[in-house]
Amino acid sequence: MRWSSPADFQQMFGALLAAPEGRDLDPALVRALTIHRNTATKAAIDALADNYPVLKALVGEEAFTGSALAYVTDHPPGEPRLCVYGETFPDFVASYLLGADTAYLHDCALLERAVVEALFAADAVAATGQDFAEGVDLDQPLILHPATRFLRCASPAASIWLAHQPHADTTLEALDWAQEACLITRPAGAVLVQSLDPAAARLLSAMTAGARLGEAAEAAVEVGDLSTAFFTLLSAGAFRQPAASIGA
Amino acid sequence: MPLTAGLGFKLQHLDDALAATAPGLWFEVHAENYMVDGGPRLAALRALRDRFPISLHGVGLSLASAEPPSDSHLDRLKILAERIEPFQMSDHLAWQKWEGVHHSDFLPFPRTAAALQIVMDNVDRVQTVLKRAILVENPSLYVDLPGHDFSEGEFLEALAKATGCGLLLDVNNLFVSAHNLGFTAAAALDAISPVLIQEVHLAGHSRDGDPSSGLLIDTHGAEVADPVWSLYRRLVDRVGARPTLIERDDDIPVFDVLMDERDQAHHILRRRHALV
Repeated sequence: MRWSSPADFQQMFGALLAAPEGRDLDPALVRALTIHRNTATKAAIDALADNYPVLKALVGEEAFTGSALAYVTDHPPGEPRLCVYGETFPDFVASYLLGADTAYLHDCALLERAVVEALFAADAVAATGQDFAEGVDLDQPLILHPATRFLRCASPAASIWLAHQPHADTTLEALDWAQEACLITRPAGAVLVQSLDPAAARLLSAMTAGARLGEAAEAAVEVGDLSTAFFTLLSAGAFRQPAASIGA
Repeated sequence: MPLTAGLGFKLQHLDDALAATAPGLWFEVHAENYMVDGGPRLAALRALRDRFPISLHGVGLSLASAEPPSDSHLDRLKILAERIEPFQMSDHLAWQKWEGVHHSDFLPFPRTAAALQIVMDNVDRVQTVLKRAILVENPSLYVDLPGHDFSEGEFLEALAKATGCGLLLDVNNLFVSAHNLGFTAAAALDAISPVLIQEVHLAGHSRDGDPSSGLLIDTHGAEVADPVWSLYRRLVDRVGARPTLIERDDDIPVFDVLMDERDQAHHILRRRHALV
């Protein structure tokens, strides 16, 4: 048996890998296809487990693997970098795991996706208090550090995430079930997750939307203390070091 | 080219790896795991690179695909190579892409003259972009496909001669393929021209979960089996020392356990070197 071209063979084999049922095939070929399918599926599921460990802890091994398997079947990897696989898993899991009170799972999964993006974002020097020692220029455009991510969640997603980390000092049981403005940053190698107070959240939100510091500050002071808010964001490494201070 | 034994690096072993003092030690990573823009993972690899030679082992170039390697993937690989300056780069004699889907395994194909031309063109493209030769690894086979014009050995030899690429000989894959397809591993091993072999992989395998198949699966999740060590000794006796990697990708034990296996390979290489 010969195929007219390598492309033809790959088309045939690819189709068999994707839809194995109902074919009259040599059992040896069927077994080989199963092995190749299982290997690829396991690699993709493992990648999802690596990227969504808190979600997995929240729903349990069985439910996680079930939803991961369904996702891998419907949305297989489109490229070889499994470390970034699963961008649409949060939305998928939200509809897959039907039932009451799964909205918090969606929030947690979105936060974990943001953590993955922060982990792999480009390196840059973060702005610190030192960069503003001479004073703060309200017209200064502050650019977000490449790793900075911000999500407003109806559930306490940041606290839930923190409760699952090694050396956590909070537990799920002790959690105040309230909305959280979640900031993800990477100031010095490791990813930091925290929930922001309303002023810091407004400040960041406005600057993310392109406002200069002065305009963003106006929104922040309506709900809290501006210097605390700014200090919180700086300590978290939310911004890139401003160009003017480099070499100063 | 360090003619010594190395280890597949896992991030959880970073501290142990940086503190390792074994002479001749080098590390290999899956390139795709480090094709990121920045962050602690890349920093770890750079720290490792400051101390040890690094080999970049690709698992996604899909060299036997009817379509050429993705430009964006090649660009990312090139950037990683510029950052890390590996002593070696490699990928597999297999295809992985189908209708926009990437299949994270190494798929077989009939080794026809047309397939050889495709693999040659793909390897040429990769080597042109990277501005260096790469090594191509023999995959594990689970079924005897019809329509081959070449044996695997003949195919790889022709590919190397045409493109200047080298061979990464995975002795475990050869053993698994020989078992599954019913050919003699030792004879296939003996037929490989020494000058082509530029790296050796040693890894573990498992029995198929469906025992009625009688197949072995290349899981990289166990220690190197005795018959694979025998084949390795046979190879080193015949061709001499080659950079040899202990590969473990699943059920990862502690660092010391992997180093014990690495040391076993190291002793085989040293003993052969001493006999020369």
